[in-house]
Amino acid sequence: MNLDYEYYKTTRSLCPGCKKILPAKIVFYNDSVYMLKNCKEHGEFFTLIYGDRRKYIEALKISKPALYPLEFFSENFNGCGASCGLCPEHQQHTCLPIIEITDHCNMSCPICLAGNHNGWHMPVEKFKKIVDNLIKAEGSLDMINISGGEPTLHPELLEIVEAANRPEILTVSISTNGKEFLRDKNLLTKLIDRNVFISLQFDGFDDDSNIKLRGEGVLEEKLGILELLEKFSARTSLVMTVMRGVNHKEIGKVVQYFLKKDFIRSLMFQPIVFANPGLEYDVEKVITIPGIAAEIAAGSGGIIRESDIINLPCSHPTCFALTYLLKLDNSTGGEGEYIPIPRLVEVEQYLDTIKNRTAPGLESESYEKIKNNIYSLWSSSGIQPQSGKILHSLKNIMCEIGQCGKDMTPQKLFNVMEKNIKSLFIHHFMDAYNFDFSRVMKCCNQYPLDENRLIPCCIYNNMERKR
Amino acid sequence: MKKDAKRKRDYIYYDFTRSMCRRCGKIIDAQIIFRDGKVFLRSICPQHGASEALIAANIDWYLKVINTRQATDRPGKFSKEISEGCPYDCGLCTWHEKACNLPIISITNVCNLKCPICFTYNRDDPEYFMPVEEFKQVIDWLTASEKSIDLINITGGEPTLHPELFKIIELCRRKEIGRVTLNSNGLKLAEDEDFVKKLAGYGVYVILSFNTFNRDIAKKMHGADVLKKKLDALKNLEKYGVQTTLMNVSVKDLNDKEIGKVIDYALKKDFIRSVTIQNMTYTGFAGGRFTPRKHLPIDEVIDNIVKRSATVADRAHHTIPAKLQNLHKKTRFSPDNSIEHREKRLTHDDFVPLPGSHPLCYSVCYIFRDGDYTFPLKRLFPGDEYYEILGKKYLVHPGENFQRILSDKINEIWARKDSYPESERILKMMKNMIGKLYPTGEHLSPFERQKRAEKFIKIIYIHAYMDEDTFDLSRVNRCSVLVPGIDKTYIPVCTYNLFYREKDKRFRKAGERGIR
Repeated sequence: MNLDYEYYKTTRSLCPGCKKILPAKIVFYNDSVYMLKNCKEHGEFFTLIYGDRRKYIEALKISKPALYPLEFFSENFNGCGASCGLCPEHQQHTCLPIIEITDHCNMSCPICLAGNHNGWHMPVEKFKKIVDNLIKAEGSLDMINISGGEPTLHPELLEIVEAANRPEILTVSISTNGKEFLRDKNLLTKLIDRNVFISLQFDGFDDDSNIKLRGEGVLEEKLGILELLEKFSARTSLVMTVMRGVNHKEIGKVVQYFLKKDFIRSLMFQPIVFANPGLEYDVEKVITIPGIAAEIAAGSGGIIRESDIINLPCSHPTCFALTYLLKLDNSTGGEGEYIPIPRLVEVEQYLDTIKNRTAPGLESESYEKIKNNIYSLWSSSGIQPQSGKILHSLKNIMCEIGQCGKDMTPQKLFNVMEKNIKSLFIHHFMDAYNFDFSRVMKCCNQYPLDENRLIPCCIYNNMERKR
Repeated sequence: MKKDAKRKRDYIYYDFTRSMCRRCGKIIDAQIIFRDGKVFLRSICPQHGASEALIAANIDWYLKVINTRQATDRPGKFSKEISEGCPYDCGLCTWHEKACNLPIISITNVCNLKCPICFTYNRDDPEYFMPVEEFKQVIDWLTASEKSIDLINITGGEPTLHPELFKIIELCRRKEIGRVTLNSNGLKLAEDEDFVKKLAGYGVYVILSFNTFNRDIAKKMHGADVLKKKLDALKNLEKYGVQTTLMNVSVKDLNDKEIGKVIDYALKKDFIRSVTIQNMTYTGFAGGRFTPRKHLPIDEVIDNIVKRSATVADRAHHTIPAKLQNLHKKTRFSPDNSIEHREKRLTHDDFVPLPGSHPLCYSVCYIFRDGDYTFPLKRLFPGDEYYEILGKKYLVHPGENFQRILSDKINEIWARKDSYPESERILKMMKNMIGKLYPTGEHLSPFERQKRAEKFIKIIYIHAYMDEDTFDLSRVNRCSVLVPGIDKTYIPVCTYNLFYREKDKRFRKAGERGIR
């Protein structure tokens, strides 16, 4: 490698050719962060891992202590990646388990990281065991995610959702391309009746990029699905996979749409992952957290700034970044307006509030912090340009929470928060090109496998998944 | 609300790296963790469990230095391809990130002391003295592959016991080589004045192992009553004006609090160029058994210096003109205005990572010095220019850049006198220095200029070698202190100490196994 890069540190990664573990260097080049590694058989790899050197360094600094799960299913550490999991050296509990209930799919996206074989559905009994084990490891969970394949193709999906309906589990979300809902509206209403969160794959309003990413022009169908979701007031999350030069310019439009629509509670951006063997790696197509944050800021019409999007200290900080948006009171008419919560509170306190949970304000401790922040905001009114509106909105939230009094359950609190606060995430999964053991050691998204294993998603996708 | 039943870890996971297991010597996964404001390397051996070693006493210091720019200076030549992976391909293999700053050549394993702190895997069975011809081979390929070498370090064992030492030194007199530095425990230097005189004649720089002024502590560290010998050695070195570095091995709760005294002494003496503090490294035949094993990180050494060295202040204080006294009191360089003599003590900010090394391996403090007057250099150059001055190597290269930076600074001080304390004195010193380094009508070789610059500078190096507990592949990858072999190979010194020396056939009987 003859480029004039600056060395930063070493870690371990994978060879994109043979998936063997390789030593890797993290280096700085052109103010971005790259990974450099060398496989005896497959040669040298120089891959972009983070688009901004300064932000990368700052992100790494915000790490917070991990929580132990209640139980480790793997007793011994045999080197990271060889003893999942979770093993006692893993540096985070399972915040969001992703349970793949089928490998059937009604699409065949060129960018799919799952590698579906259309031959298997998870038996409901097995799902129940997985949930039992999750509760053993975690005690309680804010959310479990049901995924696939395409989970709506599972013939017993509703039974599975029922099986997850337990007091220890606050919310169930389903990751879907949504096509089944057009065919079977009943399925959708039944899921909504069961309070399921619909996590809809949606990559933007441009069908050319849909063809590139999804293998077909799905825009019309997606708009139809969104219409249904809105009509039934489904709790909806949009998940957008972003490939630079293909649909990254759609980010702004998607953000605008998200802010306009009350039924969309959260928006998730996932930078493209080169895990599908049919997808050729192209550094020009790589986008990382800072690149997406810049597009969000540019496209949000001044509502969200890059500095509002903060790396998450409980996951590895370069895996997740997010912001929460407070809905401003619009009783005086007009469309809902939003203000990013990081601008209302001190960043340090904000970090304490968001850590280790999927939704804000669910720990009594952080609830107190939010309350204190609101009070201090009260006393400093006039500082924020929209402080009147902000205070009014906060006051309403406080009243709603206050009315519940001692009956306040996490579920009720969650509902109040969800109605008033939208969340925006960036989640950067890894492929063999940017795979970094320093990140995976702190992963908080696990696949529960078989009866007794929780395996970090990126380890599974890159080291164990059969394709 | 339901109380979360999950327990918090008592540390923060910061990073992942690879280290080694002290018990089995295997390369294993490791975490960099923060606990109680400190930084530890937590090595996790699948067979032998986890162990932790302190690598920084303060998280802020750690984050600051690891995020300081590392000057890019990759080796021009490699002798190996990547095969088994670091550290098994030395070397250098194409994975290595840093060219040589400091070649270390061990010319013997024989020593007349058996120091309990010695971190070299040094056994004198069989006795080995490097043949002069072999040394020549090493120097030949070194000078053939590097255009210019600031210094060659000759060490041992105790190199002054080599019967043909001066032939070896003679071989280093080449235009490509700036100087020879010779490590010594000082016994020979104390006993043989003529020997010292001869060293002076050859222009050899001596690196004298000097840990303490306390006789009992010296006994503990060296296993013999050596203090008087050390002082005699210093006397001889001073007498013949041999340019000397004090090499201080700092052991926590033994001699570490004495470092201020050693630095005070060094700053007072003309013949002493620099002090190198090496944190005790618990490896090698003796050091590996030294107890208790308490790791002393660089920032704790800096802390010891800052708290215990008063010299810069006392001496500067006498030279401040009366009219500047008031100004001096108010300077932004004075964190503690209450005690006059503390004002110009060294501060933590006077130390920075050496840009030509890994930031956890070296910190350095340059002190301007002109006669009785001293001033820490970093305070004149708080920004990036300082890293430019320090350059990519072990020694400063006072070339045209340096002249430009100095001249710019002189102009700046001239224009903004009030914002610099003691501006008159600093200006005088800098002008004096420029006059000597860049004399009109006289051509100086770079090495000659380097030597002249040294007259104006005292240097404190803090060098953290690694042992089995602190070994970190992230660091060794940037190692600039290399051991050259006759086979045209270089091995990074910590890798050599931990993985190669015990296999080095020159130093051990065939078939004998290492200590692990």
